[in-house]
Amino acid sequence: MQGFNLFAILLNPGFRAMLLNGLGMTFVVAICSWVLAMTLGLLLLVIRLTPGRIANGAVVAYISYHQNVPTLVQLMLWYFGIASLLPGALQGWLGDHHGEVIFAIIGLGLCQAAYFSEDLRSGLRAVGRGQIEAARALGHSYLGSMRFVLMPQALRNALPALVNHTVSLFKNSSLAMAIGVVELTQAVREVENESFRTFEVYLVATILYLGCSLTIMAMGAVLSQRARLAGAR
Amino acid sequence: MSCDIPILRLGAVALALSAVALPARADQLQSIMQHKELRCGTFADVPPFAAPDPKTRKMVGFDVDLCNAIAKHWGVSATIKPVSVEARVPEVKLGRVDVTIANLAYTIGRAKEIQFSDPYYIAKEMLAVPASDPATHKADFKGKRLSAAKGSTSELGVKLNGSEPLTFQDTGSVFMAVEQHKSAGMVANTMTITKLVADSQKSAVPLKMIDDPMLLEPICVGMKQGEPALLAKVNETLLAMDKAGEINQIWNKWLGPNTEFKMVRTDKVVALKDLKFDPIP
Repeated sequence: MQGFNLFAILLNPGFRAMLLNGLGMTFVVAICSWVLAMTLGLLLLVIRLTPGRIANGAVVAYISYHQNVPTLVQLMLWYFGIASLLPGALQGWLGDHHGEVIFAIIGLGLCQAAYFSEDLRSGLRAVGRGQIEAARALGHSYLGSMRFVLMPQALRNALPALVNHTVSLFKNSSLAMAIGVVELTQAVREVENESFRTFEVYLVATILYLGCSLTIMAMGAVLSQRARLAGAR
Repeated sequence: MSCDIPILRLGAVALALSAVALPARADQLQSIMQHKELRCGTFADVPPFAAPDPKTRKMVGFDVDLCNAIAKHWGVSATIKPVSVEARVPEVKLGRVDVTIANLAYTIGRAKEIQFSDPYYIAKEMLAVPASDPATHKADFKGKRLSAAKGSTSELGVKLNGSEPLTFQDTGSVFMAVEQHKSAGMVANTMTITKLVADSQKSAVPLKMIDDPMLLEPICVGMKQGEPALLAKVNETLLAMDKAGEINQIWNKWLGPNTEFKMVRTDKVVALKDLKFDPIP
């Protein structure tokens, strides 16, 4: 057996490049799917707030599907299932342009949108009813009271949950390896395969994931510190 | 019991060491001939290479028959020692078995640990691409995406070809990736590719096999390093058995056209140094 040697991984330019490329791909997948999830989450919330019953039911169905089916299954469905329904030319184009990354972003983003939308809705429901009444009484329109009175408070309430789900989105990006994306976890497995230094390479991965997750949480803490009202508990 | 006098302890250690070291210094071939026993490391349960027969509980298979045949040529008896897949190299390196006959492919990494006989079979990693693709050589797929199973020698073959690997956990997904134009082709061993190419003829995207292999994996007998006499004897016996058609006979019994594997052995035993191939790292 070879002894513990972290530098055999860190100082090997090939391994280092593989791990850094993997980390970069993890960031691409996590950031793009976060933007997609947040945009879609807000859209779902807006639809949910409108009185239409059919639209409301559709949002509930969307959220139930994405919260109750394993994310891995959703990714597989996008990559192998929905992709096969696309026209051949588009399939070929996707194959040449890293279709697996695009589908990973779509799959993870759509799934996370369900969570973000629910986080925002619970934040909004926690805002007292008096607030909208007061805003309307002061002459704000519905949208104006949303924009200037309700949503800032809702966001403040939802922040801890949003940060938690951002961390889980970041970690879930590792599921993309199942559809062939070479992100950090896949890169780690490849380096392990070539170096046989299982412990060292998983240690590096653990530290990288931990560092990124803690950074996200620290950013969340700074944001909630800033958003806190003077005198609030 | 304890040896409190240092000199006694030293003596005991020296005695123990010499007892261990002495048999190792003897020529391994001589030792086999003296004991009239050839100890073969085989797979423990990998049919058709070596696995217990459900009825008799005796080890049977291609590798078992090959070991028995070699022992018979030498006029000694064969003892089959089933070993785990990972232990194939260490067991023979440590001298617990004389030879490893367990579908063992030559790799540069393994060749640093043990010595290899001349190959008696050459396993191949093959490339299958959509039949509509006009390309006919593996070089045409340099820089293109090829799918393969994660962590396999197939994936290695893709990398050595300068192609970009797209990897999945199972062969089914690897195949689907080609069918859905996610990759320009797929790499797997000859057995798998032959079956998938046949299966794909009814599908929307029929496949064809590219003739030149992506990777050659010479399958050899593994031995401890520093045993030239044993190596020469094994090579000589393999060559003689091949010329007499004995290897083909064993092959056809376990892997040949009348078995479910339907493989035809076209290789001859050739010297490892005369074989032109890119060894697996």
